[in-house]
Amino acid sequence: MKKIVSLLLALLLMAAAPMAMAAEVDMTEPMDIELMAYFVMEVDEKDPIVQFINDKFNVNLKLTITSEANYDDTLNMRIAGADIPDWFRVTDQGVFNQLVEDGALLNVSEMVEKYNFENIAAQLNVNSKAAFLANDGVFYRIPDTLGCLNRGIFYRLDWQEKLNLETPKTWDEFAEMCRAFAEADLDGIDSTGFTAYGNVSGLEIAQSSFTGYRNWGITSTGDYIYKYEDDNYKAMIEYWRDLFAEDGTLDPEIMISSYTEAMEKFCTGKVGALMMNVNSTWYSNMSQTLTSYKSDAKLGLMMPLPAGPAGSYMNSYFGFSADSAFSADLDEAKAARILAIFDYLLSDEGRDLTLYGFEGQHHDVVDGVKVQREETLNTEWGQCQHLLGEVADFGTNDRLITNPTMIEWVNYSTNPDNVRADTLGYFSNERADVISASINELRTQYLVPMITGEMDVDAEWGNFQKALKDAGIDELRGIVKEYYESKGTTPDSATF
Amino acid sequence: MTSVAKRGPAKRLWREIWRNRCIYSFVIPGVIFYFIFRIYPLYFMQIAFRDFRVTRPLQKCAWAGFKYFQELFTSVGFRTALVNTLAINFYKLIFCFPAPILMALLLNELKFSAFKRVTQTILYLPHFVSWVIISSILLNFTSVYGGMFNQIRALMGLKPYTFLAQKSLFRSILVLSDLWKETGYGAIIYLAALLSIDPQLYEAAEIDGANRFQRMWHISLAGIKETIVVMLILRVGSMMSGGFSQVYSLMNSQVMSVGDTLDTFVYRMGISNNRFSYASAAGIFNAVVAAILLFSTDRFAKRIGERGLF
Repeated sequence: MKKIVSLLLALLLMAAAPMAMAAEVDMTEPMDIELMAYFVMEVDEKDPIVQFINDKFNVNLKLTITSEANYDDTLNMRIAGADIPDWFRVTDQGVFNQLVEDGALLNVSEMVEKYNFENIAAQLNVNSKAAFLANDGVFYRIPDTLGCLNRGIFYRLDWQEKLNLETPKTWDEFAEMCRAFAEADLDGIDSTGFTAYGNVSGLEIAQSSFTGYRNWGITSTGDYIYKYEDDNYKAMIEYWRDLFAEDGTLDPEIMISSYTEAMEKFCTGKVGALMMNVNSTWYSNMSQTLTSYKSDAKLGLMMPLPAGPAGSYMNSYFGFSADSAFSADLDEAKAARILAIFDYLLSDEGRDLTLYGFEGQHHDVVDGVKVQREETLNTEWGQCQHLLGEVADFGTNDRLITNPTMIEWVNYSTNPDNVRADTLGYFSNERADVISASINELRTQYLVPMITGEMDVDAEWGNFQKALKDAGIDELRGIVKEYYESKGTTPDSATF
Repeated sequence: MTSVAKRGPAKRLWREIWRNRCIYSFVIPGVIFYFIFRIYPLYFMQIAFRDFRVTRPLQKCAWAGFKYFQELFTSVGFRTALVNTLAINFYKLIFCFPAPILMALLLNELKFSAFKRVTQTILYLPHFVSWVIISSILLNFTSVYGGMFNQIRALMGLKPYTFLAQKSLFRSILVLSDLWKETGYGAIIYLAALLSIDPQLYEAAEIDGANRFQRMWHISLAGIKETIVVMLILRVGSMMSGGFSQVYSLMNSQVMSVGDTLDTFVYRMGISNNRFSYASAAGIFNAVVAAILLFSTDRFAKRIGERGLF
């Protein structure tokens, strides 16, 4: 009996050992912590949520906020001046890799293990986690998920209903719907069928449905193939070319519209369907703007996306936003304090705080449910989530979704069977970046005039392929293959 | 005489400065400005010859020789950007350079001073409107969805037209928008030069029976000839750059083959991709060609009997 008890005690001690061994974060000394981030609004250091964090962790958070457009330049200047912020968002993978190589970033894995930050550990265990690991198998950043944010197709549900149209199941049916919208012109303002933004990349919403993969695929012979080399991609270009040539089916300004212009056209009845980012915020904004234009207008969200020769697939983002990284110059006490804050922000309580703030100040409780205050979103946060929430995990805003269409979207867009993700989202290599930049130039030189009909697709496709070769597509293929092999995966796997 | 010759030019210059130190002190802020923002940055030109990365001190970045220049010259789109830069600047030289001179001459002929002042102020105003705003105005004016130009076309029974997406129109749009924005402001320097012409010359010419056009040609234009030559030399010297904001805000993928300039190309390929060595190599290339153009024009001006810049 004694032996059994001793054995049980020993087992209990062994199980409890990691917890017992976890180091404690010392909160006694006050300290300044700089957080550098881009955000939609300037956040005052007297902000109540920042103050709450300051008090809870005995710190003084100093915020350096820029616009997204200026963030890279500002951060690069800081780095070049050997003035790396304590805690900052990572947007440029090339610079991030250089920082890792030069030993300028904090080893997050080591700290998480030592201090047993459970919420960070869970965040490090995301899908595609191999993409976040440096070559030495260490996390130097904490992934920031995008949630359900992806590109989808909004359309005028009221027009569809009035015209008795079925929801398109194929891209050909989608073209029929756009033609019907343009011909019927139900708002009487010479509406066109469909618009998008981002030139060719906007029209690539159809790409995975044509090629069956996002950027790189594997042929039947096992070779890596880039989308621009694929005849199915050529078929997609021909599809858009034919629509562009038709009068009124496709927005004639599709190649010159910014996303705000594209959205404005849709929300004022100038077009019947729109390729746009979809998440709860975008959906709710779009819905409100559309009904303020026309009270009986209804917003539709196409699910599933129309099918092409390869099936129906969403041409997905990688699924992650700007992660957080930390300076290697931090002493251990400061690093631990920052990660303790981060760990809290990733907890249920922390996520709740950055979504709803404080009752009576940022939200009200209606029928036992927290409801964000409009004035907070419009004048204080500028979006559905506080700065610290976006920095910790943007995907937390999925918790706000109550609209049935958006719930359906979350289920649809997060199902790997429906998605072809850009698993190279975090890949950066000096030579690959040079080749990719050249390939992007070729995209504008060849694919844009092919869609607008200025260039004959059949006659020029061979020249386009030759230009890709000259730009180094074969070398890029080798680099990409090596990368996937180093991660023990292939481009056609949904996740890493 | 002998002692002055013995002193040497440096010592003489120093004595001259010391003697007029109060006047020369006005130059100090300018000298400091040029040292900090023009001379000191020359040290960092070496970035073009190194594998520069922001995460390392410059001295620890390895030398790369002419790697980035070779890469620049063989880049997809470089040749198109170079040709576009020269073509767009050439058109601007032909159409936008003479316009402020003409405007200054016309304004100079206005006798009613209140009207002249109001007109001048109105003409200067577009200079202070940013290219981003101008591009938005143009986008709205030319939109196929109710833009003013397309409404006029609709009244004439014509189909909507995407003006900003037409290659055949893009350079004209650049020239015309530049004319609208900068002509008034550019006239200031010529108006100032015209003010320095002795009014007695006009009176004498009038007595001699010269008509308005003859006075404008033989007195006004002749009186500001030197200013025109200096401005022309400077304009030719800036032919490799300039107009980034204008081209960047108006350009789109459909007109890139005729609108992409070296500035926008380098911004896209170099700076946006954090390839600072590449962007610096492009900057040095630009500067060298601009210097060649500047000195060549200066020499040409001297050869045809003008004073030139140097």
